[in-house]
Amino acid sequence: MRNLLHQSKVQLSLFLLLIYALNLFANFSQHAVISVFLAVSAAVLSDFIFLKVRRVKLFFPSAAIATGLIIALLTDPNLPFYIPILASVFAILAKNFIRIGRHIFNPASIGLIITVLLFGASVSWWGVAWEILDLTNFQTLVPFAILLSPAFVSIYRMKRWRIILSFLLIYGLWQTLIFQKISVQFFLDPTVIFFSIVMLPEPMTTPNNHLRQILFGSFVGLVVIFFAFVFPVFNISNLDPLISSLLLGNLLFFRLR
Amino acid sequence: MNQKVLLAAGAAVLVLVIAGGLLFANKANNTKTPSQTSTVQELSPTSEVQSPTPTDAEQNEATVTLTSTGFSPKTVTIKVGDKVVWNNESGKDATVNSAPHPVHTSYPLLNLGGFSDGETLELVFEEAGTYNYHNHLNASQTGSVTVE
Repeated sequence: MRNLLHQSKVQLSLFLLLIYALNLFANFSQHAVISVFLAVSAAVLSDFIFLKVRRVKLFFPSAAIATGLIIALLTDPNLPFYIPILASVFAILAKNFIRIGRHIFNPASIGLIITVLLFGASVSWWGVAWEILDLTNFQTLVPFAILLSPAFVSIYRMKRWRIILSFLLIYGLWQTLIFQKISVQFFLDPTVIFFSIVMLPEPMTTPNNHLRQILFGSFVGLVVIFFAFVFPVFNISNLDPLISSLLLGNLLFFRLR
Repeated sequence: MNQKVLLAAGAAVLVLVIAGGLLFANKANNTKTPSQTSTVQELSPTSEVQSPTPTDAEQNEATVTLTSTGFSPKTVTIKVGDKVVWNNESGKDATVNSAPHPVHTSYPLLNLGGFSDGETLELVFEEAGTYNYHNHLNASQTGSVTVE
C-alpha cells in the first residue's frame, strides 16, 4: 500500500480526486457523481480487458483511474452517460493499441477528441474552469491551491517543469501580442493551468530530453493559438484548441522522445 | 548533429512565434473601427439601463438569458448596429467570452467578462458576421450571434 502511494500516477489520481471533491462540495450534482463513477469504471475495466488481449501482465490501473478522472472533469456533465463512458474506452483503446513502443497520444485527450468528432460532445472543462484566483477575495485561494496541487507530481516528481514553463511562456506571449496587454490572468486561467500541469506533461507521451521538452512545450503553446484562429474559419469551433494542439504535439514528437 | 537540428528547430519556432504574433496583433488592430472602440467603453458589467440617445430609437435589441441550462436562445439574428443584452438568471457568476475556450480570440470585442446573477451585459454589433461565445466558467454553455 505504501509503495502504491509513492507511484506518481496514484498521487496524481488522488489530487484529481481532491479537485473533483471540491466540485461536489461547491456544487453537488448527482449526475456528476454518476458520470465520474462511470468514466473511471469504464477506463479501469477496458484497461483490464485490453491488457488481457495484449497478454500484458496486469498492474494497478493508476493511469486508467487518472484518465477516467480527467475525462470526467472535462466532459460536459449534462451530456448523456454514454459520452464519458465511451471517451474513457476510446482513451484506453488508443493507449493500448496506438503505440510504437509506448503509446503515442495522451489518452484522455484522444478519448475526448474522438467523442467530440463522433458525437459532437463538447469539452466543457466544468470541473476546473471556475476555480479562478481573485486576489481580492481570500476565499478563492483554497480552490486555486487545490487546482495547483497536481503540480507536485508533474513538476516535483516527474520533473516536467520545462514543458510546462515553455508552454506557458509561449501561450502568454501570444495572448499578450493578440490582446495588446500583459495580464497575469493569461497564466492563472484555471483551464490553462490544469491543461499545463496535468495533461501536457504526461510522461509517457512527452520527451525525456530537456531541450526536446522545451521544444515540445513551445510547439504546443504555438499551435494552440494557431488552431484558435484556424478552427473557426473551417467551422470546427467545437474542437478544443488546447487538446487538439497537444495531440498534434504528441504525434510530431513521439519519435523525439 | 542531432542537437544542432533541434536548436535550429527551436530557433525556427521562436521566429514563427514572434512573426505570427505580430501578424495577428496587427490584424486585430486593423479590424478595430472607431465605432467598435467606442462600443468597448459600454461593455462593463452593469445592471443599469443606459439613458436613451437619439440613435436608440433605430436600434433593435435582442435579449439572451443565461439559466442553469445555458444561454437561451442559443442563437440570435440581428442587424448591423443592433444590441444584444445578456441577462444572468443562472443563480451563479458567469461570463460572456468570445470563442474558443479558453483563448477567446475569435472576436475580442465579445470578451465582456463576468456578470453575477441578476446582472446584465450588452454589446452593440457593428459588423456583419457570425460570432460564437461561451460562459468561460462553464464552456459547455455556448451561444452565437448572427449579424446580417
